[in-house]
Amino acid sequence: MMSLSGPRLETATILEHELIARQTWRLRMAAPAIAAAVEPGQFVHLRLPGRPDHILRRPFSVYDVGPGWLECLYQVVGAGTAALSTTASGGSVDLLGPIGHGWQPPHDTRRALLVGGGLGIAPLYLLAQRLAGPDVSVTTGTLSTTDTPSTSDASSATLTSALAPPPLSPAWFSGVTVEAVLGVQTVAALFGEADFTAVVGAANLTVTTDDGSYGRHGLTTDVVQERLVELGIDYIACCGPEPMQRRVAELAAAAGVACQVSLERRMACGLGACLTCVVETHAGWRRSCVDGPVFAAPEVIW
Amino acid sequence: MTVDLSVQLGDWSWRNPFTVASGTFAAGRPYADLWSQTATTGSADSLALSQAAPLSCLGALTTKGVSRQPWLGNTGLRMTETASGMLNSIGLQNPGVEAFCRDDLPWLARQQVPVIVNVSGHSEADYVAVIERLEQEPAVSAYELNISCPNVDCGGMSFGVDPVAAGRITALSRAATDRPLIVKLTPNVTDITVIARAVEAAGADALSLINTVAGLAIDRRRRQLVFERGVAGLSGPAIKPIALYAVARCHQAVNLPLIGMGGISQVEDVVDFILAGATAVAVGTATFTDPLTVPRLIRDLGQWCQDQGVTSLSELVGVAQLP
Repeated sequence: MMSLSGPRLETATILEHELIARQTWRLRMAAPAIAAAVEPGQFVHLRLPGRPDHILRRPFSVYDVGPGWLECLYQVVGAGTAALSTTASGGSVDLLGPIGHGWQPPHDTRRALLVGGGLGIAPLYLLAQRLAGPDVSVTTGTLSTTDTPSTSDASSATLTSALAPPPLSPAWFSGVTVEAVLGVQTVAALFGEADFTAVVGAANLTVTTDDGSYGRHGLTTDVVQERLVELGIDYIACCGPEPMQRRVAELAAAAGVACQVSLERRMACGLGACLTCVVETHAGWRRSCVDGPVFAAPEVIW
Repeated sequence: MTVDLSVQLGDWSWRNPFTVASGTFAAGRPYADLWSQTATTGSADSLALSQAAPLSCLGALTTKGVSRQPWLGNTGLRMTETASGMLNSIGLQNPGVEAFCRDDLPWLARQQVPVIVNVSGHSEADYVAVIERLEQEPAVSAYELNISCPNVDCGGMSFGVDPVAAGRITALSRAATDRPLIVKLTPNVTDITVIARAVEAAGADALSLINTVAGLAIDRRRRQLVFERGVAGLSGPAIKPIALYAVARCHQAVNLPLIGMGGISQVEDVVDFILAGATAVAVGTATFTDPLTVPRLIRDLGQWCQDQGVTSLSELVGVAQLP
């Protein structure tokens, strides 16, 4: 069943499209085949609708997933994402995914710290769900097959697998305490607080703002530094601006804590062919699309 | 009416006119999986894809550039999108000919598709060494000399802008092989026909037209150039008219089969290139937009020929001539 492994093409229907923070949109799409296969930290390569002059797809990490659907968050940064933000529910987008190697916490992880900056918060939410326990949407509920484009055997098998537990180590699901630090510039840019609170608990969530307009005034890295001193953190997952990731990687290395980072690069194919998205590592150039986007922090040459 | 999509490049017969542009397809593996899966799920059932050997739908497969030693490629940002195009500055990153023979060729040999190896080098000796090494490999069908990449400092395009250097490297390569020898030319010259004639005289069997167009991008926030090397290579629909002009001019100037490429994404583009004088075509950047572009184009070209009453593509080649 090789069709269950690598990325696939799927025409997704937009179910919800909501502005959740300044310039930041949540896009829920019906994409049963990809949704059934997504692992935390993977992404989809999305073709912008209605803009044939924008020839390249855009990589969006998967924020949340449920029966038959997945969600991505994105920021409007240019004409392409601006056009996407005007695409209404019911419209369709062309997806390629799921792509890449996602988060792989050590199997004996007991206390994980998830550190997200800005839109880098997005790929951490699925991880928080998986680490915090089995009570997540991917393992509950029933599938709606109304939007299923194909009734072939392979497709049915893919759908059925959505109901089974995700193919991760069972160790992920038992007794891991998850803390999250979410950093944004200012309160207007904040999103995801309620989602993370529901999964990790209010006591385990810290929000930082650069300007002090909400939560703790300061940087995520300040919090990471404190947590590494105070508590038995044994795994850090980090995504955000590269200076932040680099600092978190340094702090983790100094504390001897396993750390993974999710690196974003401009990419064309998303399949490992074009070599535009390479990351410099101690093992040479690695492709952020298929070798990443998640890398062991000590491997990365910053 | 049966439509015959096969084409003839000199003595070399292809099942259809399609190959892929070097550097956009690796050695095929990333796309083989996706195409095979498409065949499995039937999600694009009108595409005639084989699950076991999905790349066998191609007329030929052209690999990423292969050099004598491993090349690291360029540092810094490697790609930016432009209006209807993209600029790349990869710098021919590849693991070298030995790694290619070890890691890619045994797999390629099982794909039931003719393999064109794109050969890159910093020197004449480099090109010859790569060809000599590959002559021992029965899985290789042909060579495409890359004397046209704008993204490397030494070699690459510097051979392709000078008719003497282009002729010499073609002649040396010709002496090293009896396999079909294709030379890929750059549009970044005053008169591409001068180079085309030089490589024809030196023994080339076919020309690939065109490599990327030299271009620049500015990071206006930092007030500097986007790419560390400054120049980068433009591809995509934006360059199609430039490529068509090169094909039409070379069709007039030389008596070699031409492989046209540059901005092909729809069947109309394929037809335009053939009418301008191309015998075969390559698809590159469009595969990034839609990984199934080539299988779709094979299907669509058959349909187009049906609709137009065209029984053989050869009747179209070069019909639209320059005055």
